[in-house]
Amino acid sequence: MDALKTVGKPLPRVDAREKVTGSAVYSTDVQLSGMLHGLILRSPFPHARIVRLDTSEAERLPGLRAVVTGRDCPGIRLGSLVKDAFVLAQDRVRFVGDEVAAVAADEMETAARALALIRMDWEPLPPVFSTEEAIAEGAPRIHEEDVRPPEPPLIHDSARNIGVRIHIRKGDVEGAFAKADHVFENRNETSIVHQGYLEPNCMVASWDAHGKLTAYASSMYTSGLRQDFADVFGMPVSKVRVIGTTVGGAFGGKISFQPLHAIAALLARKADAPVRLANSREEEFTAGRPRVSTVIEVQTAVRDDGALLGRKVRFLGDCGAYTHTAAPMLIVLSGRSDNLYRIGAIETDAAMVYTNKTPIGAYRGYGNPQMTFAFESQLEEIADTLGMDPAELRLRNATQPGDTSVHGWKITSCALSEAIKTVAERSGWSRRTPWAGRDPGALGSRPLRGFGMACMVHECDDRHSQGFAGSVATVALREDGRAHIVTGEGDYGQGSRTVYAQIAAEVLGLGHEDVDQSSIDTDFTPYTLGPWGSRLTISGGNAVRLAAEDARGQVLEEAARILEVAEEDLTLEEGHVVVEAAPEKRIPLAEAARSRIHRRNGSPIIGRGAEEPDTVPMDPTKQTNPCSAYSFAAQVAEVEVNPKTGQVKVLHIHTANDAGTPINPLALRGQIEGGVLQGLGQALLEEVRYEEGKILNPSFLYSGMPRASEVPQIDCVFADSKDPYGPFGAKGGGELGLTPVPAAVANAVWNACGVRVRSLPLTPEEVLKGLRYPRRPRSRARSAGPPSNPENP
Amino acid sequence: MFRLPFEVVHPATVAEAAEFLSAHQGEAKVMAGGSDLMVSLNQRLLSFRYLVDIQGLPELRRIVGDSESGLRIGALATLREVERSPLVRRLCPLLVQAAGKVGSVQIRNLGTLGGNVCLDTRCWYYNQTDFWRGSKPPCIKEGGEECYVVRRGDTCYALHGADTVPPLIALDAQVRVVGVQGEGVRPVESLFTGDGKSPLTLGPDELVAEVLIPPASLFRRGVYIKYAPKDTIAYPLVGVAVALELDSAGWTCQRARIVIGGVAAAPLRVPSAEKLLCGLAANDDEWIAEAAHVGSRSVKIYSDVYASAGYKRKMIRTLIDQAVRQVFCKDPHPTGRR
Repeated sequence: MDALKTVGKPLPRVDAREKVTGSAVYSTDVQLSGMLHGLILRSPFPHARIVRLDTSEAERLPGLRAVVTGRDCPGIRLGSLVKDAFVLAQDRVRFVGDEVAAVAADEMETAARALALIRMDWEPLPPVFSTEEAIAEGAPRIHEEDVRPPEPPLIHDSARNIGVRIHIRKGDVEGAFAKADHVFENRNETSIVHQGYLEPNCMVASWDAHGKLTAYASSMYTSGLRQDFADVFGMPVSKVRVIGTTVGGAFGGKISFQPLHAIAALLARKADAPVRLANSREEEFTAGRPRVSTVIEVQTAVRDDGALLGRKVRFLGDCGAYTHTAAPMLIVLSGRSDNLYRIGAIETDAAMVYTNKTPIGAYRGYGNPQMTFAFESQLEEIADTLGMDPAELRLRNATQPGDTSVHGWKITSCALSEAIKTVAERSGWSRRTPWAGRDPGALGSRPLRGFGMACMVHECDDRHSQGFAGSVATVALREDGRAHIVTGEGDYGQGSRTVYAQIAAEVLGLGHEDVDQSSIDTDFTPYTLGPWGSRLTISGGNAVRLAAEDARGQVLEEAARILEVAEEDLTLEEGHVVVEAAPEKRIPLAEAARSRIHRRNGSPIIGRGAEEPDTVPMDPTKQTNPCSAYSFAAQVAEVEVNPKTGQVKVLHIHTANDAGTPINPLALRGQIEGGVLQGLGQALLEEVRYEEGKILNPSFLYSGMPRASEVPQIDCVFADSKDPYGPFGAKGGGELGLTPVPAAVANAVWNACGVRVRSLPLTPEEVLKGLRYPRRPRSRARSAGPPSNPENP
Repeated sequence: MFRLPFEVVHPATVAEAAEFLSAHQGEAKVMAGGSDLMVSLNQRLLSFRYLVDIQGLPELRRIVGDSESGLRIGALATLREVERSPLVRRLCPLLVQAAGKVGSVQIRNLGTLGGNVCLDTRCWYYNQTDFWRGSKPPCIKEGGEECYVVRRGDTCYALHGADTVPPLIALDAQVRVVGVQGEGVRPVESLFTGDGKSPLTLGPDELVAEVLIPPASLFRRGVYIKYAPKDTIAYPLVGVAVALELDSAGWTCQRARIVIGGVAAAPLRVPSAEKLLCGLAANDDEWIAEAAHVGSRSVKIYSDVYASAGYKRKMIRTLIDQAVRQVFCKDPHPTGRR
C-alpha cells in the first residue's frame, strides 16, 4: 500500500486520557451493590500436612458471610497441561502462601478478624528448596500422586519431583562435537523475578439468579478465564461472563487462571453476594506467578573460523510447588533461542522441577531472557577466545531470511544481520577492545568502561494446538461515519487499542480518533487466545485489518449505488467515498453508512475479519513452524564498573529491533524502553530472595527494580523490515526490549573489567569478588606516623 | 475500611505532648511526618492506644541561625525543607547532602529531621508483615528471645539507617529534648543506645524538639557518602560522614570526625581513624588509606541479605577513603551515586 496516512505514525495512545486523569476503571474500582470483601488465609509453612482445619469460630463472627476451604472445592484441579494444583489446599500445603481458606465479610476488618479465628493444626513435612536437591535420590516428594500425564513430548515424574521434562535432539550432535576445534562449557544461573506490575491481581465476582457468574477481572486472559471458570464450576461457558477491566500492568503475570479467581467466585456463591478479592503487594510476591529461576549448562562446539557447529544444553527450572504454566513454557523456551543462529545440531535436556516455593508463571519473554543470558554470554567469550569480534561472530552465524532453522522454523522477514550492524555502528562498537588484551594495571580507581552485545529471536503468535490459533474481529461503520472495532484482544498497556485504531482508520480512510472500540466482555467480544507470544499486533491486527477491509467493501458497494459508479472507481479518503477519476464527486462515509442502515432491506455495515495462520503446533522435538513470523533484536550495553565497589552503572543501551514495519513507532518504542528497564532490573539487582521457603523481600522497597533516577540512555531504532504476513508489514515487538539486556550487560561488565558473572543478578559484591588486581606489595607499615593532635579526643 | 485501633491526640504545645506521653507511658506513640510510622503500622509492628500527632506545632518547624550562634532546626522541619533551605545550604552543606539522600522527594516532603534522628532500627526479620512474622517465634525486637540475624545472639542486631544522623554526629550536633521535667540539650551522639531493640536513650516522656549545630562545627568541611543498592528509596548499606576541621590554609587536618551509618544498631564513630587523620596533610594519600583501613577494621559488622560482612567492610574502607579525599577536594570519581 502506498502513502500510508495513519499506519506508521507515532500517534499518542487512544487511552491516554483516562490513564492520565485517573478515570480508567480498574477491577479494584468496581463497586457492586452489597459487595463483600474477601481475604485469603495462606500457608505460613513451605511444606506441611493439614491435620485439622476448624472454621467454626470464624463462622460465628457477626458480619462474616462466607468461609470456604478445600472442602468446598474437592477434586477440582488446576494447571495447564499438568493438573497438579487446587483451588484451595486439600490436605497439604506446598509453599508459603499456598491458599488454605478464604472468608468474605461486609467489612474488610471483619474478614481480617475471621482469618485470625480459623484454627489449624499442622504436621510439618520436610521441604525442598533447590532444584538440585529436589531431583536428588531420596529427596522428599512434593506431590504424592501422579496426575494425568501430559502428552508427549512432555514427561512428568512426580516421584522424582519433575513437573515436566523434555528431551530434544536434532542433527548430528556427536559429529558436531567431534569436528569441533573448541568446546565451550558454562553453567549459568538466573534468579526468580517478579513482573512488578503496579496493580495487584484483583477480581470482583457476582452470581445472578440464573446461576450465571460475572467476573470483573484484572486479567490478560478473558476467554481462558471463562473456560476455566466453566470447568471449575462444571457449567457451560455461556454461564460465565468475564469483563476485562483496565489492567495496571501484567507482563505475563495475569495470563492465567489463578486460585484467587476461583476463590472469589466460590466465596460469592456461598455468600450469595458479590465479593471483591484482591492481593496485597506481599501476596503478589508470595503467591503471584513470577519468572522461573534457572540453572542452564551450555556446551557449544565451535570451529576455528567461528562456525557454531552444535550445542548441548541442560536446563533445570525451579517451577515451585505447582507446574502452573511451566509445561507450555518448557515447550517454548527449550527450543526458541536455538533459532537465532545457524546451528546444525542441538541436544537439550530441559526440566521444570518441583520445590516448596512460589509456583512460577509467564513473564515477558517466557524463558527467553534466561536462555539468551546463557547463550549470548558464552558467545562473547567464544569470540574473544577465537580472537574474533563478537559482532563478526554473530554475523557469521546469524539466521537469514529464507532459512529453515534447526527446529524447522521457516524464517520469512529477518533483519538480524542488519540489526547487529546498526547497533554496532550506533553504539561505537568499534571502540571495544577485548579485556584479555588490556593492561590489568588499568584496575586503578578510575571507572572502567566496557561494551557488551546480545541478540535475540522471539516468536510472534506461536501455535500451541491444532485448534483455533488466530484472531477474529468485527469493524462496524456507524451512521455518523465513525468506525467501531470489536475484538477479544484486550489492551493491557501495550497500546494495542491504538494500533487497532490506526489499522482500521488506514483501511477506511479515517483518522485514528474516528475509531471507537469495545472494552473486553466475553458476552460481546469474540473468543481470544490472550496476549501472549507478542501476538496482538500480528494476529489481532490482521483480524482488524480483514474486518476493516470487509467493511470497506460494504461501504463501497453502498456508495457505488448512491453515486451510480462502479465500485472499482471509488476510494476512501478523509472520511469520504471519492470517485478516483473525479475527486469532487464524493459523499461522506456517514451518508453511505446511513443509507445502508436506513434504506428498505437495510443492514448495518459490519465487516468481519478472521485470521488463522498457516502454522504447525510447536513441538521442539519435531520439525515444526509454529509462528506466522519471527522478530529479532540486537542490543549493545555500555557500562561503567566502579573498581572499588563493584557497582555497575549502565550508561547506554542501544537497541536495533526487527519488529517488521511498526504500526506505531511511538508505542513500540515505549514497549522497547519499558522492556529494557525490566531487563536492567533483572541484570543488576532483582531477585526474589528466599530463606527456608519464605521470601525475604516481598516489597518494592527491596525488590531491586530500577528507580527512575537509574534509567540509562536508551537508543531505539527499527530495522528496515517488512513482514509478508503481518498487517502492513508489522510483527510483534513487546518482548524484544527485555530479553537481550541481562546478557548484554553481563558481557559489557566482562569487557570492562574481566569479570564474568554467570549468575544473575550481577551484584556489586559478585563483580568486586571477581576483580583480579595485579599483586602489589602493601606498604602499610611506616616508621613514623603523622604527628598526633592532643586536642583531638 | 479498617477502624483506627487507636485514638489520635493533637497537643497544642511540646510541653503538653510531653505531659501526655508521661501520663500514658507505653501506650502512646509520637508521629511527626509519619513516613516510617505508617509503614510499620500497616505491618502491624506497633500497637498503642494513642497516636500523638505533633504536626500542628509550628514552633517546631523553624530553621534559624547564623555563623556566630550556630544553626537551629526545628524537629518538624521536613527533610525537603532542610535540603532546600538557603540558610542550611549556606551554613551546613553536609547536612543538606545527607537530607537529600533520604528516600525520595515524596518521602522527604513528609519525613522530618526529628523523625529521621529518632528513626527506629530496621531488620529483614522484623520489618515484615504480621503474616510473615507469624510463622516464626518472635525475634528479640518483637519481644521474643531469638535473633535471626545472628543466630544464638542475645541482643538485637537491627540496623540504624537514618542518613542525617552520621553527619549530625560528625558535626557534634546537639538536640534540645523536652520532657515533663523541663528541657535539656544533649549531644546527638548520646541519643543512641547501641541496642537494636530500643535504639534511643530518650525517656518515655521525652521528645526531640530541635536540632542544634554549634557554630564551631559550621567551619568543618564535610562529606556524606551513601552506598545503597538503589539511587533512591533505599536505606544505606553503608553511609559514611566525614567532617574535618582544617587549618586556615585548608591543607592540614586539625580535628576529624568519621561516623559510619547503616551497619550497626547505632551510628558508629571511629576514633582510631579520626586520630590518624589529625595533623594529616591533604596530599598524604597513603595515610588516608591507612586511616580508612583502620576505620573499617574497628567496627563489628554482620552479613545481611544484600551484602556480606566482608563486602560491607570493604565498602566502609572505600567510602572513608573517598570521603576524606573529597573533603580535601581530591577525588574526581566519587563512589556514591550522585
